[in-house]
Amino acid sequence: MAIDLGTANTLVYVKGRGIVLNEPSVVAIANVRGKKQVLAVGDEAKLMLGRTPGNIQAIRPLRDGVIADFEVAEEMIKHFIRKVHNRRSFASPQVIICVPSGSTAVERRAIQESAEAAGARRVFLIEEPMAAAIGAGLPVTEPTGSMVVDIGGGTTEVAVLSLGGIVYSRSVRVGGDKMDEAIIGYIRRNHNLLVGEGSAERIKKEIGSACPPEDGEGRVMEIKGRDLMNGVPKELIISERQIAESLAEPVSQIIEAVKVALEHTAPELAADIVDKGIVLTGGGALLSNLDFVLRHATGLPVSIADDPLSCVALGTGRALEEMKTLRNVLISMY
Amino acid sequence: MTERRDRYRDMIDAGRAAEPQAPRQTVGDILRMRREELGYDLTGVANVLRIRRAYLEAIEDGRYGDLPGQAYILGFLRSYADLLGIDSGDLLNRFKDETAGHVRPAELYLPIPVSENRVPSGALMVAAVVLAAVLYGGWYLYSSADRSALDLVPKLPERLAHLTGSGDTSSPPPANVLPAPAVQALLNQAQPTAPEVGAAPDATAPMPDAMPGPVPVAPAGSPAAAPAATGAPTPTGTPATGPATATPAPAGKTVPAATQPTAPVTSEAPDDEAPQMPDLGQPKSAAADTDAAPADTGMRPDTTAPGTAPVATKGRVFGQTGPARVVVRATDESWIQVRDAKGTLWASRVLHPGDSFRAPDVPGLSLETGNAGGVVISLDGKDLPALGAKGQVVRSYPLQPDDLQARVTH
Repeated sequence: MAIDLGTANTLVYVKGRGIVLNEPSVVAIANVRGKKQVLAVGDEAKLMLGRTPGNIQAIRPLRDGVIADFEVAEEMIKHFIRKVHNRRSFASPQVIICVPSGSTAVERRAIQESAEAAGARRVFLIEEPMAAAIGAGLPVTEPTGSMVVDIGGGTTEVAVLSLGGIVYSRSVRVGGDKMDEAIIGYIRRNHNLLVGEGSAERIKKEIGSACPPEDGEGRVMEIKGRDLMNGVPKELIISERQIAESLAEPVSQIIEAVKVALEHTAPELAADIVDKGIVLTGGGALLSNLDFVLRHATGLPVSIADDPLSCVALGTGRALEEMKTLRNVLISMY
Repeated sequence: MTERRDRYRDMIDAGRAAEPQAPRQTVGDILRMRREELGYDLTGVANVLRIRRAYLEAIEDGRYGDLPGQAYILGFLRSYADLLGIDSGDLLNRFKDETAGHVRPAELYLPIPVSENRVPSGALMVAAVVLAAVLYGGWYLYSSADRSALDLVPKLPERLAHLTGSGDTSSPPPANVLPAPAVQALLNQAQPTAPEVGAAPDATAPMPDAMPGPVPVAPAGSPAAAPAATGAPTPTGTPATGPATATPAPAGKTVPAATQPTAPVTSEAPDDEAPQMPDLGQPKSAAADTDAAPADTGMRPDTTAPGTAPVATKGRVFGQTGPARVVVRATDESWIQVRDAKGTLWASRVLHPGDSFRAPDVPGLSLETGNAGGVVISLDGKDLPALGAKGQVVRSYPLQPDDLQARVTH
């Protein structure tokens, strides 16, 4: 079983069956007479996010790509494993979980321990950019440099890979969440309207763009929230240009990370990358015009991977399928 | 943009409808047609997309082998299609159909360090285990062969041969040796279940003559066994060998063991036998005890045999049974080894103070000792001068009476 434990979504890949589960990393916990009980996990829990009464908490146990709430994360992993694991086989599953390349040893250990406590037989970790590159189909084991930019919910991983290893990697804690926050902040500042995280995410997906349209306001969208001036619910229309403006900050951070990574790349690898370019994976790659902005900023060919949302899960799954040949890319904290 | 795309799709559909048998348009053809339609220059496209012109040409010509890899081809196609306003999803599906089976996702082979020794580690382990087993086996065989040399048993002395009851009684037994019937009686006594139990009283009849004085008689034991055990007034204690050697007779194989030169089957034997008589009388453990008795007596130091052995008043006596001209006596802990001319080992042991070794009359007998000051050699009862200092190692010291005589006179 391969798990892409993402900040926003968790994907589970089962050997021989492919990706069998793709649900938001959200857990709803109910407080029943002082005892905490898991109420819902995944899609169901995500609907509760921001709409819970006092006795229910909808928690996202991962922040910035790492576990922020151990107990809840453990419950979530346990739930997902139970959901996809074949009950008829007695053996507990062997699990590969991906971790951000910039995570500390403590964070990695925490993830490994959580997975073990959740009922995994053996737990291996794989670094996210490696999984993303494998999932995107890059020739990571060849003696040629490949650059992958994985823009996830919590982190953006920029890595140069060659010969089955990470030559250089850089992890910045900017991702989909930061973009949502930027949108919320922008709307609050400029329109005195407070929107929720869910609404901000929807705006990003529908009219989000990395650069403003060449002319005009671009696509427009109705947004609903609470007016900060008089405190009543309000609806207003926001344009692609405005959202692009609000996203300028996180996008520029991603570009900066890519540039820094390129600066640290050895000349031979840089030569390979000039030819083949950068591959974008992760949900952030779906932000329209991000490839254009990156291409403009770096002068390199930028391509978006096929099915960027599941690249990491597919790559982790492939590591599971080809465990023997890819044993070297797996990490165990013990 | 969408208008253009629709128009383009119509065009393709029209073309397909018009010429259903015409070869299918390849992805490269679609892209090239569209580019020419828009009037874009390949170099211009390469500049905008930052994709090398050579790669774009390869895409248009369908030479996918010249491109870096499937992941990149997909990315380039998507970028190119987006630039030209073609539906990239459609185009990618078409590309996948076209290249199904030709272009595959990158094979992943991690470089594995070549092991410096060519032998695989598994085979190496097996070889090591086999080698260890062979070495151990060899050592075991070698050491056990050594041990068998130590256990080498000389031929049964003629004097004792008749005691085994093998019929080899041609040589007349010495005067002080128990007559065979007596021994037989002893045996019967030891094993009351034997049918010849009735012989025991007969055997006891001559025995009182041999009894010199008050002897502790085994209380519950047989009357015959006790006299026999104590009927060893002679210094050599040869009669004692009677019970010692006779008792194992039922066991058969232990006879040689009892008569081996290193086993002190002399005067202490009766002492050991006497207390064991009650045991011997018990039918259930008779065989086992008699079996063990000679072995035990061999190891047990003699402490209560006053005056029976003039040479060794105290301590164990090894070597020849019976008087010997040459006796090696230990005054200190000393290791001795005695071999004859053929290299046969006669003794190899540590003598404690008081222990002695009676050298058999064998040609070329020589002594090796680790403590020359701790052994005294006596010839015909007379002590010879010391072999050397304490702790000195002496090798190949002759134990022939003649040689010793020569040395003394010299």
